[in-house]
Amino acid sequence: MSAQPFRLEQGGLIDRSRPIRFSFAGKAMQGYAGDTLASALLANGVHLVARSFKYHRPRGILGAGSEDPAALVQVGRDPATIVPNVRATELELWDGLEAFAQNCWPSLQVDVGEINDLAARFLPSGFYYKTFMGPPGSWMTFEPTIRRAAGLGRCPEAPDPDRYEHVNRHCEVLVIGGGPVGLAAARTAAASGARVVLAEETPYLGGRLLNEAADSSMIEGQAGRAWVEAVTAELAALPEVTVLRRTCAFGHYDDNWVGLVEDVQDHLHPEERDDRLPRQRLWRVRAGHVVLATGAVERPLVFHGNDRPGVMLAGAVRTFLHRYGVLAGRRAVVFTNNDGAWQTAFDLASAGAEVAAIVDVREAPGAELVARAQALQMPIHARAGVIATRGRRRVAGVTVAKLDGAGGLRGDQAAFDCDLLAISGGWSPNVALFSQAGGALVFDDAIAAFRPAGAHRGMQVAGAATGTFALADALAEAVAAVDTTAPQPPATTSVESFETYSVQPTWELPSALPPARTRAFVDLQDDVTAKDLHLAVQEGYASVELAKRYTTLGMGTDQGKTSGTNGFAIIARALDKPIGEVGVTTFRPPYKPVSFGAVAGQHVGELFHPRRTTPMHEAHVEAGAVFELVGDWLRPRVYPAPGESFDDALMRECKAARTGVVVLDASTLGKIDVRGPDARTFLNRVYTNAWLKLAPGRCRYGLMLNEDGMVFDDGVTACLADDHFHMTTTTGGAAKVLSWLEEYLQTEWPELRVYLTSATEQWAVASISGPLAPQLMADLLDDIDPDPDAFPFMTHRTGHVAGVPARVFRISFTGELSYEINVPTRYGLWLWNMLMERGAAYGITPYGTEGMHLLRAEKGFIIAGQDTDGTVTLIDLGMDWAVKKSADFIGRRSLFRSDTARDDRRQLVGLRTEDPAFVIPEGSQIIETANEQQPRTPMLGHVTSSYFSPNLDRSIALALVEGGRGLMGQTVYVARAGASPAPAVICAPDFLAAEQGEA
Amino acid sequence: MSAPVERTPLGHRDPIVVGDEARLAEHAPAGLLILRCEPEAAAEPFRLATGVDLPRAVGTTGIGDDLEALWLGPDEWVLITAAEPTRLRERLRAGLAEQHYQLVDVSDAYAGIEIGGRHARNLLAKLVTIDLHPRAFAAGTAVATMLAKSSIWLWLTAEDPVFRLFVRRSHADHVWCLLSDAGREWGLPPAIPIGRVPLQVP
Amino acid sequence: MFRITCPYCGPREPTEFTNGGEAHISRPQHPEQLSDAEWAEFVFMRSNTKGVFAERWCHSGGCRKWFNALRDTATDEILAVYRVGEDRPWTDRA
Repeated sequence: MSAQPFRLEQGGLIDRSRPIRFSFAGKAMQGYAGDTLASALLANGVHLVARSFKYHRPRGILGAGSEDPAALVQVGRDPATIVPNVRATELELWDGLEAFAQNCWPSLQVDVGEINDLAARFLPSGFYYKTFMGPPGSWMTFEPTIRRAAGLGRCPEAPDPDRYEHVNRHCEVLVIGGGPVGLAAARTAAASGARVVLAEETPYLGGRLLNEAADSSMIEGQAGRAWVEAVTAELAALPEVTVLRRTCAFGHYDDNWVGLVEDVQDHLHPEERDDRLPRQRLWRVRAGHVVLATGAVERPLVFHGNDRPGVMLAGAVRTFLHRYGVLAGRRAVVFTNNDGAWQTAFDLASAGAEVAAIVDVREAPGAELVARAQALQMPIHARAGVIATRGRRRVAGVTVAKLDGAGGLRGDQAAFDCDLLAISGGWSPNVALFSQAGGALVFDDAIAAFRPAGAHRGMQVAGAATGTFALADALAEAVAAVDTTAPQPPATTSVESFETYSVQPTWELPSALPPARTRAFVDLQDDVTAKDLHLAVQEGYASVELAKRYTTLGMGTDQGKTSGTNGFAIIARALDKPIGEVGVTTFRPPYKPVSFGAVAGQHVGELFHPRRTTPMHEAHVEAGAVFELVGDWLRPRVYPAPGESFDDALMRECKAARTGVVVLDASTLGKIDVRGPDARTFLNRVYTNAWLKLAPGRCRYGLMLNEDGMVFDDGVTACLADDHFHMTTTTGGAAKVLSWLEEYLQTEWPELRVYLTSATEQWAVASISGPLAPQLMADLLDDIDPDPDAFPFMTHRTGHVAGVPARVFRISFTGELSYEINVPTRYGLWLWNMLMERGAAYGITPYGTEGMHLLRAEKGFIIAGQDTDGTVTLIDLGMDWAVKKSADFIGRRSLFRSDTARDDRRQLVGLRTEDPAFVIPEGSQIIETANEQQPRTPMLGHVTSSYFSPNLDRSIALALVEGGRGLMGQTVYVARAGASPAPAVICAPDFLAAEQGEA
Repeated sequence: MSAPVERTPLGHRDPIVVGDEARLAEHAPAGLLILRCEPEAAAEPFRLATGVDLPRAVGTTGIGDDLEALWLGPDEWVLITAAEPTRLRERLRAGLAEQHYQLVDVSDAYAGIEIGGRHARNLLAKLVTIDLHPRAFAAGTAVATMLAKSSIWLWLTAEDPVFRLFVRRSHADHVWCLLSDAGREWGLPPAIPIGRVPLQVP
Repeated sequence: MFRITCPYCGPREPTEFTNGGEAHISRPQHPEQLSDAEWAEFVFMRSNTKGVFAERWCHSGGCRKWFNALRDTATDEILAVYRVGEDRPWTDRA
């Protein structure tokens, strides 16, 4: 374990009494509680952290937070919990943490992929598009190789064992950003009693006040950090304020719906993690107002060799110094185009580092700054720039040259040794969420950056996020953002250099090298250079959106936080247009990567989606049923006996239905109570057949069509009284039928006096079928005579089963004698068990949906949704008998459209295969001839249902065939994969009737 | 013949109590009736028949001696009674005989779940998108809304708080498990839905 | 994730609603008197507006009532909601 040579004796928010062991790239090191991986690595003198995406160039730590583009590491080893692309600047240390370098082989220090860098001049933007245009399909050959060479971390390969959850949250004010501006806004908003949520991305409140010497800013008579603590305590005492740390507002959606992702436990040692808590929480916030206090992001300067480890943002250097007590280097050069970075030079000097030079592109940096620097004996180079760096894995020196003010060099060059180059190209307001919300941006020359044009739809922006850098002004904005009538904003004084911020736009430094050898990076993650952007414009990608996609500028996991403004400015200059006119690319969520786990929340695995269970479910499980989902309902499919195969069980159940007695759990059928004086009129309009004369006590089958004439749903409806009906629908169609009926009642026919209420779950339903059914029913029914003569088909009775009130319907979907017993659901399980008990004497057989499908197919009955698919009319189904002549109904007119009236439409027919043992796979195509090749055989239709019928001892199928009803007795062919087409004969759909006719 | 056995929708789930943090229990009222009618005409006969003012706005309820009426929509209410609903039904049928109305017994179609404890609001907020803050959802408020993917009626009966939640019977076990899972941080146990049986294809 | 205000229940999340397409298209009184083209116009043809669009919504996860809304399809702002049978409100946007 190494010492921490770059750790200061004191200062920072770390806890020196709690050393933390960790390892990076296999090397054991030590940091302190409160460190990030980045601060601990810097404390250990480690700058080389990663390899870049494309050229495998050494990458160091540029920033200090979520803006850092390229210091990405892999955390952990477990294939279930390993996390790629974690920003070292955000990864909090815990004892035993193992982080690994990614995108390098065999090691971070010696990476074979670096050869890409030597070949860089042959790998420009668009290289892949240009090179791999080859013959069709060749990309498939190249792609895996390219993917291996370019790419970042490794994904977890095992299921995620962690838990995540969503929390819905309403508040009057959501403040995003916990710096001084966010704190002031939250405190002001909370004063009125409003519900306030404050989301801070880092573990610390205080923002920039933590990145400066403790006495730099005074607010309300207190030093900055003391003020932060006081306001934090004040907010914590308010019941209506929620302060969320480690919480990133990743996306803004319509009407101030903001997604926040909170890291709940990742920063803890695994043994300290509470398994009652999720790993991450996704807060779904609906806010009245959003205050963006997201601060600003510092831009790098673009010059040859600016990507070398040891080149850091000047503000980040201050952050590491003041938050973590880490000196990023001992001999620094500061290179800037604005006032801000001078503070870095002063702070480094205070901490004991040597400042080898301050290089400022400006002709005349502020006199006060110059005086301070001179007092500290710092060499100042005005109207000069760094034009190159040297060093292998870390910066060892820089070349400084005088600038001619017109984009060129003046000749004089000087070299300086250094182990740190602190750069600043100015500060860009962090406008990502504002822009996501659709807010307009303007380019502000005073700060040389884009900023919000103003407030936008319930969203206010305050402080550095809108380009107001002076602390006093920013705090005043914070207060005004939540309450324009509020009293005085907090009184502040500050010695920080931002108080007199000025900047000279500097987008790209000149180079002493020929263009082909200049490597000036704009996007350090995606390896996009200034030259790439010029090339993109040259090749005609004349907008930022196109140039972005061509070069991949800002398309990495950092979403271009440090590269955006520089990139857009370089594109604008190449186009010779003002930056504001060229604009920015669209900001889209997420602001920062969000784990899939957080997006899914608690709605995974067993809790992903409701599976609806019937009251008889328990009995089906005990009976060993195999289940399937019908809509959301869990239904028994077959009931295999121990050791019995699925198919054998199916055959047994279906034989029993035609020889004994069988029972089906039909509780899932949709049931709608229809009542009102106009109920008949209504049914007459929604069903295709006639309903005006159905007498109480009787039932009728009905088909519903969409207005386009296509079959929508079907079912049997019983007349309970003149103004009262019990409608049934298919299991899967229940909800959509009810809402469809309501839609017509509410929007088309409000004059009809009819009410609809779902009664699906009020009734448990057992459907008893088979030749022995009447005998069993006679045993069960207290007060209803089940004799088919006394209780005819398509009628219903009200009575009792063992004293339990019941509605019994004489309807059938199997073609056998059937009774549907409806009892209140609380008796459902009892009813089923009782049927099994009492039915034992008759050999009762429970059967499932598979048997039901097979039995009805033997009868040629359709299943809406299986034999129909939204393109099938009732004429196609041969159900013209169900069309009333007397009145209009939904979809009627469409049946007479020229297209629906064609007689060569696909029509429902039966298919008997020539080989009775061959069961056609459902969905098979039906073709006219056995010759699939030349000339191409006409496609006639497809198979919708297909089974082996145990009762007919042969395969049966239903199919939709062009002009099928005119082809009875003709042979067609069923196309097969890997076999020659199988012949089959077209027949009527009712196989059972045909069989009985023959017999 | 075996005597009829009644099953409540969540009869297989034991109540869960974690101190005063959170608790979950089935609460199955004897009777639930859906009433559809035109309130302009039917409110007065309804009041005469039940002694309860028909609530007329979202969130509102009407409370009587043996009857609670929750507003579900401009022409739809659920009537909740602790007694067997036959007599109530007869009274309403008589009282509303002149009206165009619908009265459907849904006592068996819904499950009732009571959610209490001081974290009840936070627990529900993980699954319900409406604003449950006391300012927005005070005791006595009842609404029809969604819990995750299930339609529910949510009623805050007491400021303790005690929520009563009604959900279609087939969804009840799923919702129970979601609630129990949402309470993990306060000590509620994970729960496996009874619908979690393997699906098998031949 | 725009919020929709049900005219009966107030503001709710969009997950409680289902969209019913363009509003103010009435089912013809006498379909049998229409030509195929006229009927097809009713069944199949809908406008595809950029800007303010009158559309139908159902509060399916709440009161089950259908209503109409004016939504700016370019910004997803809902400018007004109104009940079935009420006239389309005036807005100053196109």
